[in-house]
Amino acid sequence: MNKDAYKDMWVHVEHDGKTIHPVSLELCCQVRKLCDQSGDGLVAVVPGELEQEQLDKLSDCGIDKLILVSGQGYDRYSTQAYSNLYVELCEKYRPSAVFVGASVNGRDFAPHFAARLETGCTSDATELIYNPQTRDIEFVEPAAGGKIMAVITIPELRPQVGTIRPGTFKYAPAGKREHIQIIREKISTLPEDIPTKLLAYKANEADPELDISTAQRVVCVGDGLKDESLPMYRELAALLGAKLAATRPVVDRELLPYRLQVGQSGVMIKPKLYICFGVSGAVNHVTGVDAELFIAVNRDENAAIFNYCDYGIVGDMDEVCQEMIQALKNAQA
Amino acid sequence: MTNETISKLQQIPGLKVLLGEQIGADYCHDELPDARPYAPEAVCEAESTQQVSQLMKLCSEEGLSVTVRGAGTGRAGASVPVKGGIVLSLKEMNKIISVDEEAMTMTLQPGVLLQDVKAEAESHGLYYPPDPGEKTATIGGNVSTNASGPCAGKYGRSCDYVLDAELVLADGTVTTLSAREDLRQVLGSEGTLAVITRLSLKLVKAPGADVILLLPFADSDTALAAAEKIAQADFAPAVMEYMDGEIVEFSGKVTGNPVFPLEIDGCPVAATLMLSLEAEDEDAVEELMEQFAEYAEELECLDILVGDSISMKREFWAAHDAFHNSMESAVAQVEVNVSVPSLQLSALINYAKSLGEEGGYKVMAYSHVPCGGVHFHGVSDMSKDEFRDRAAAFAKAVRSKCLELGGSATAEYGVGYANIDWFKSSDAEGYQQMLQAKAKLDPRGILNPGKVVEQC
Amino acid sequence: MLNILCCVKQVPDVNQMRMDPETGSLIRAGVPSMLNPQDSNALSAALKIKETYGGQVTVISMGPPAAEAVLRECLAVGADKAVLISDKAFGNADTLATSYTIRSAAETLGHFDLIFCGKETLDGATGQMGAQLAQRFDAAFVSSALLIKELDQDKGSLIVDRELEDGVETLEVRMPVVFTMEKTNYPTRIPNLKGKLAAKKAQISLISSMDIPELDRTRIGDPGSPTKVPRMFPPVLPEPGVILNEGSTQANVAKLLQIIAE
Repeated sequence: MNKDAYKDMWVHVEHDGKTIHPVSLELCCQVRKLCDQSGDGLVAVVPGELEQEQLDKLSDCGIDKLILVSGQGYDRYSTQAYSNLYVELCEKYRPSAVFVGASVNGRDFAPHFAARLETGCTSDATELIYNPQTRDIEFVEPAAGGKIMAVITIPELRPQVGTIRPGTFKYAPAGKREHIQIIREKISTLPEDIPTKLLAYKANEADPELDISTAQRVVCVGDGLKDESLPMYRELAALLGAKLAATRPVVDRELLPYRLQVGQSGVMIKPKLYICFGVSGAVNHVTGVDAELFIAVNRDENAAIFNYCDYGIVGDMDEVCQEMIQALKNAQA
Repeated sequence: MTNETISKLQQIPGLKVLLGEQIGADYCHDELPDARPYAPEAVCEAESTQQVSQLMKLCSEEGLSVTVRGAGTGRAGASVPVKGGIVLSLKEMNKIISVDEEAMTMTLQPGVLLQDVKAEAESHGLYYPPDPGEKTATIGGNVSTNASGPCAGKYGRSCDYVLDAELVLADGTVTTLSAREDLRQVLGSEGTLAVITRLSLKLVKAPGADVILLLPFADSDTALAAAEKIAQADFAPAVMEYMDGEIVEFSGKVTGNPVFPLEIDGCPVAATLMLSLEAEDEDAVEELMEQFAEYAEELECLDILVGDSISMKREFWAAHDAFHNSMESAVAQVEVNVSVPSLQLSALINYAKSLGEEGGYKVMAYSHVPCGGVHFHGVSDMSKDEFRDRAAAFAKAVRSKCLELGGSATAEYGVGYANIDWFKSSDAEGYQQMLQAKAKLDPRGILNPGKVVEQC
Repeated sequence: MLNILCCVKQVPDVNQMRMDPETGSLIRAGVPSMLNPQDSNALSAALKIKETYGGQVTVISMGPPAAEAVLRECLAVGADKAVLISDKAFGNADTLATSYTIRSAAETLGHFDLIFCGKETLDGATGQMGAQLAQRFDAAFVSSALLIKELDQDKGSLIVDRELEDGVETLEVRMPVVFTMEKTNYPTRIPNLKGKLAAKKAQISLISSMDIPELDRTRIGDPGSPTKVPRMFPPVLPEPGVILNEGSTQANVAKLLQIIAE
């Protein structure tokens, strides 16, 4: 494959018709840095209608080109319409890379169009590096439950497709470029070509307890948790005005719902205060936490989690939790 | 305690002495439910036998009482300083000194946690069987109460695994004991006869493979009858737990995952037996399972579910271990732990349930069938105060019934201060022996006063 | 009759994996393997469909001969047929090559109306297999499926709830369909003894690269995998934080609460 034939790095712009998903903006900001090193242009791809004010927000992230796609099939998400769009655009414009935010829908269509293009797809990188020798992007991601970091590349094929978790990169707009090229495309997928039909949509009842992504305070329980101790941590969370969250093993044990899973394969959080109990400190978990104050409680003094915390207590998690509950109750009284 | 005594304590090299506000609330209670706290005058954290010996010598001279404490996970008040004085914490004496793979022994200090004992044994391909459930208890505490647990029927109790022990007597004398009978009485005395400072434990070869079987039943009498039959057969289950449907459901609501079945093909499960079968390797376990499948046809169980993966086995045990602490979520609760000859389990459980029905509260039970140990939990939506009298009446009635059925009213969690009367009435001979031993080994009554026996 | 396929994988228990501090590589020896946890939820959904609407559930896995063990686990809880795709030529495959291989092997078994797989694996954790299988089978794709509510075999369609970040959408879907399943409504099944013993003796079909006519050998195994792993390295641990040591849990907690208050 002649890598010269493939230019520019693309970011899929996910939106609901009104606002852009934060992950798309985060990606534009991060991929801008890669483009500065590789000499590629940064291209934002917007399927469906979006207001100018939102497009301006994209422009602020330092994009060089904007591909605005109109046509049928973008009112409501479907795998087919989005997969069709990227297959057609990639064949026409030959981008070097396509980045897609790992929302539920992003994870749904990115591997699909990558398979149609017979190219490689990576998931959930926590770091992106441009290698000027090979001219490949190095997707760095925790592997084997976070015991090791793996570098993934797609050395022979283009485009290099990658999905990235919301919250992995910071939203730090590089500023608007003087010249932004706007390309308009019309690609339609007809309803009869889409095997899924939306019958109804029900927004989640606003259960704020299940929304940890924006929580200011989070109490997180890890695999050290005893099944029966869960209510105690709920109580502590309530006393601290915090939300309860968990690591993957606790969710695998079906004790708490997936939406409360913190980490690379769950939700990325940025709380002011984060206290974790019985969490070992696997990389995929800690990469999901960007806390101002990070506190860890674990009975194993050698647990990796103490390397990530600001303050730690070595001790029995239930005992510490109980003591905290007591102290907080006393303080209230 | 005089300032002079305090400074003498502080002069013992390496001994950590906590006074006044330094003494955390933790040191004033154990896990005995609804108990009042008792504060010690000082807490001493020892790291060596020598420190313990010096401390005991001093206390014996000064007539100061000493309550030995491990992790404080007991449920009979044994480690609580009811007469004030000093709490001697051994939790810093937590070194595993050696493991002899060939002789299959482990020598260790008393403050090592049970989970660490088990893990260390496992890392040498060996197995330490006694397990009362609470893995963050210390081995010293386990031995002091001669703790049993689900697998005691097959493997025996904690004291059965002590080969010899280093002890510090009330006057500070350091001695080593290995004669079996002596050892058991002193060891299992809940710290009233001596302080354990080192233990040599017997380990066994780990079973090569094991499987957990769950047998759900439509009614609990059938379940217990089946358990009796299984006990007579040749399967030698390492564990045979009886769990009634109510406790599975109650605990499942607290944890969010009941794990054990609540119904099978539309039939509600009234009780489940959980069996652990062991053999030298996978093939042998499979053979055992085949024999069991054939045998089980006469048991009238609704189904036989199998846990043979690591994750499934772990989930089963986690759900089982959750029963106990799940009760915390009830508005008011009462807990009674007794044991009866396993043939009497049905009578006792039915009796306890009938008490609940009469009194308007829910009674749930689970039991280690082979050794007849039963845990009863009564829960109610009444306020704690309202429920108190009923709870006391329930506990008394169950224990009386238990004695009537030829059982022991102090089983499982030891005597402490909470169960002295029951110890006296259920095992008069044992009580007298303890009294005599106490008079001989600790005539001034400074070791753990107010526990196990009443001293004049 | 519904022909249902459920794709499963044997994975190492990554929680028990350790890194060799000298070589920086993972120590796999002694780490037990198991059925990928999320695959058990997918299987549970497949079995539920079979129980409700009739049909046959085939479980399929690609892996070494030892992966047979997880197929037997699936048979024990009620899968009807098990197929192991195993061949050195399939080794080192990424999701692109794997999805091609599974589809090619499945084609030798017949046409499938419903194809289930877990959301992601414990080891690879890419979460791409569902989407790529859908593409390979030219089937509809429903990721994060929550509950399959109605299935009309005459119409060849079904109604399914799908979980999104902010709500639940209800879709009508034309078969064939590939699903990745949420565990909420499809908890892991516990096998019974009868099933377990039968599964131990059950026949497991083997498919090697020789058994698939017109297999494109450039699209399988390592050559067919565009993603590569040029290197691995141990995660860099930051400097440890301050461990509170105030003498007792109570004092530590008091200090901690003071820090939080600030």
